Amino acid sequence: MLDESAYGLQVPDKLILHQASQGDEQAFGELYRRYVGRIYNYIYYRTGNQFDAEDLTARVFFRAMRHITKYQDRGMPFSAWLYRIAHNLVANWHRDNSRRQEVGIEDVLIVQHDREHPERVLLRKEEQEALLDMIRDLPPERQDLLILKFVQNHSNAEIGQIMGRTEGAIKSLYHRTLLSLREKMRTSNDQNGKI
Amino acid sequence: MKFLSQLQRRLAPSKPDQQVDFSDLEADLQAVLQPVEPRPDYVDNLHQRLNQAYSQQMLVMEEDLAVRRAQSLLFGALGVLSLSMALFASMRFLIAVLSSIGLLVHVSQETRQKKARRALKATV
Repeated sequence: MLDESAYGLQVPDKLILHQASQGDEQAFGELYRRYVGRIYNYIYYRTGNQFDAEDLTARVFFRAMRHITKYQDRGMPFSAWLYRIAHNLVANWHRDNSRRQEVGIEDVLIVQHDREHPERVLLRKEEQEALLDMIRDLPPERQDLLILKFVQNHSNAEIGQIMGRTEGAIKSLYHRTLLSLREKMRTSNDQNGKI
Repeated sequence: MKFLSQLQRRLAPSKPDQQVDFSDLEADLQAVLQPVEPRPDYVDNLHQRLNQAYSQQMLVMEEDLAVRRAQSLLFGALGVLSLSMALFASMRFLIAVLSSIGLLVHVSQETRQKKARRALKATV
């Protein structure tokens, strides 16, 4: 059994996963440490608020813990399995909470306050909020793709592994997503112009 | 030539073209979709809860495993016992059948002999 300190980035997930499935508490702790941030970020951007993100992240890891002894390696990365659990829980959450969530997401908006005119800061914040709204209006798989690409900084190949698609399919989906976002932005600008 | 290509691009803006420049949109997305850090106390608290639940789960699993082992041993012993009983019973049955056949053969032979004796006496 390895000490928690013995786990480094060079220790592959597979080895730690094997130990965790054999009942090694520290190995499971290491998996948690590696993935809690990513899963939290994914859920945070899919739900739009901190409280549900924390609740659902906890549920993801509890579910993973219950099933880790039955985990079967099918050539996919462990993260894909965790993201799949998170995706299912978020889908259930959206089904149960059909009303729009309105709190929290503005906390994350990164706005350069320094040296900028307050009016300009406000304008930029509004633009970012509008963009986030547009992202949240996208189909779930496109939201997943944008979160994995921009928040998690995964490559197309990694996203393909996580989403169970080929790299080419991810590139194509990404292209279509950007096109549809741009179209939405145009429509929104046109409507604002008319008003 | 450059002017012509620009004009063509303007005339067909909605055509799915791989050359479309998304750098501005990608920059906006990068600005909006920034990683967020979960609260450290939340992370630590969840870690503790998971550790507790994990050890409990492993304990329960070990107990389950012990119970399953005992069950499988019991079922194995019962299986061997019932198999030997069935074997014993079938052997007894076979012996009973064979002995009844032998008895029947013996009785029929005796009756035939008696009949033959009677017939001989009658002729004498």
